[in-house]
Amino acid sequence: MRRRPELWLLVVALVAGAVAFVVLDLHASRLWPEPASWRRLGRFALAAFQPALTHSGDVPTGTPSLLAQVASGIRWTLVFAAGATSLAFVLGLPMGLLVSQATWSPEQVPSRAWRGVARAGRGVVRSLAAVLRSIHELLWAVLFLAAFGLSSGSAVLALTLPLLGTFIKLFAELLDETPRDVVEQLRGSGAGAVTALLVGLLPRAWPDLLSYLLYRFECTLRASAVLGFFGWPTLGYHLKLEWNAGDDHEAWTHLWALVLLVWLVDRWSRSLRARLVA
Amino acid sequence: MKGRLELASVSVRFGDRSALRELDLTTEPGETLALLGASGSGKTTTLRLLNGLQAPTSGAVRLDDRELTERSSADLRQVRSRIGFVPQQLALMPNVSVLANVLAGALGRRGQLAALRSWLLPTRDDEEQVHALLERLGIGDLLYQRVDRLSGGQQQRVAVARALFQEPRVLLADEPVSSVDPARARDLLELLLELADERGFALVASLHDHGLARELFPRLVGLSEGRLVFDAPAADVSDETLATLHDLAGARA
Repeated sequence: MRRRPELWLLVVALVAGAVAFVVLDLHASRLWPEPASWRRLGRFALAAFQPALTHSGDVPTGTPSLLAQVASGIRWTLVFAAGATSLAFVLGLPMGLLVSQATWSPEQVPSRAWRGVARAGRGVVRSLAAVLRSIHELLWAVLFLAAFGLSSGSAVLALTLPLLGTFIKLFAELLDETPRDVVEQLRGSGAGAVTALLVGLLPRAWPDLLSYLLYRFECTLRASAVLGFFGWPTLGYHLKLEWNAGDDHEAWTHLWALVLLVWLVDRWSRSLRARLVA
Repeated sequence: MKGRLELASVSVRFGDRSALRELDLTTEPGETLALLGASGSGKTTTLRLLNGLQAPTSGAVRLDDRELTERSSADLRQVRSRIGFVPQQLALMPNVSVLANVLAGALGRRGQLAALRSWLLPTRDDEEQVHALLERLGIGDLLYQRVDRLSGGQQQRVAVARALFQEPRVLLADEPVSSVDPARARDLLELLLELADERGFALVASLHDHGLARELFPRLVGLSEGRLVFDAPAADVSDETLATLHDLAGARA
């Protein structure tokens, strides 16, 4: 059993799946949608080819045009995502540095007592990071919605916290994998522990750190759009309203805007990352 | 700091492997010498002992008659800032400029905050000093190049420049010419000896080219399996003596 963990994992997964089927009383026929649902789905899918450019039905006077709503949705989606990503980066980098092994190696910190204290502190920060990232953005959003209401601050905070947890863990791992020969060299020429760490480790890990930051920005962009479902003014807000009203063509305008936004950011960050890591 | 280094009966063990056994070696301020020996004979360990990167298992490492291990960390930093080290693997930052790499040599000169600031935002004066140093080493035009775009020989010169930028009293160089062709190796070694003479620092270089070492260095130290085999003026070291370094290593293998 110890020698074939993958095989056992597969068996356990299959058995768990079978148990779930029985407990939930699922039948293959029920997984197949009703004809009415098919028609609804078909109508929605067809609307993809005809996104609306203006409101089709009657709208209250003073309602901004559809494209203005899309533009404002894009703007807020970007603002929340950028705010959250940069805040998480600014907090996550020093914390990642603080919990990385490179910071507390015996060469850097000769005192055993201090290393012991540091080990305990690292445990606390690592657990905190684990809690932060084990709770989904949307769960944080629901929590902050209840606590602080529909403010920009609570949206950014909801997006920031799980990202911060991920950054702390990942940055620490990235820094651990970075070669430490330059740090040792700088210590050998009299540099202080902090200076040697910052100069010897960070510039080398920098391209990877930034490249990961950009990647997570894309992920946060999607989460930011979905925040609209809870009432924040991102792309998801009007998407949900139009969808509920059955205005499929207008809903698709917002969806396509999201697709376009993610695609553009993806292209931009890919070219940027290629240049960073080259 | 005068720069007199002394190893007194130093042994270094890694686990149950002996890297150095009861080594005695003294270098006077401004003296130049070459460390010879097959790979694994203890050259690198000897050099790392001299700037305190390696602690002796037994015996004493003294700088100007004070043990390195007895110095406070502030004192050790101060001492190390005047001991230049060119490691064999160079330990350069690949993705930043030559300038930034060389400037990093001076991080030990100032307090940590001031050091960081002068590395991030070098003064015009610092930049000119680095440039002059690179010119002297024949790579002045590479000041703003990224290090990973350079050839092995050019990178070696960058590592030398970083050590020289420390304004060292002692320069320790581990195979400083291992990745250049013989003609360039001679040029670079001659330049190092010239600089040592001009600026008055001591130079301890480990070399695998025994002929070149005997020709250029006044004093040769031979190591085999962590033991001192000879320590003599170059003129007194015969071909036979040099050959024993390989024979001894060969006999073991």
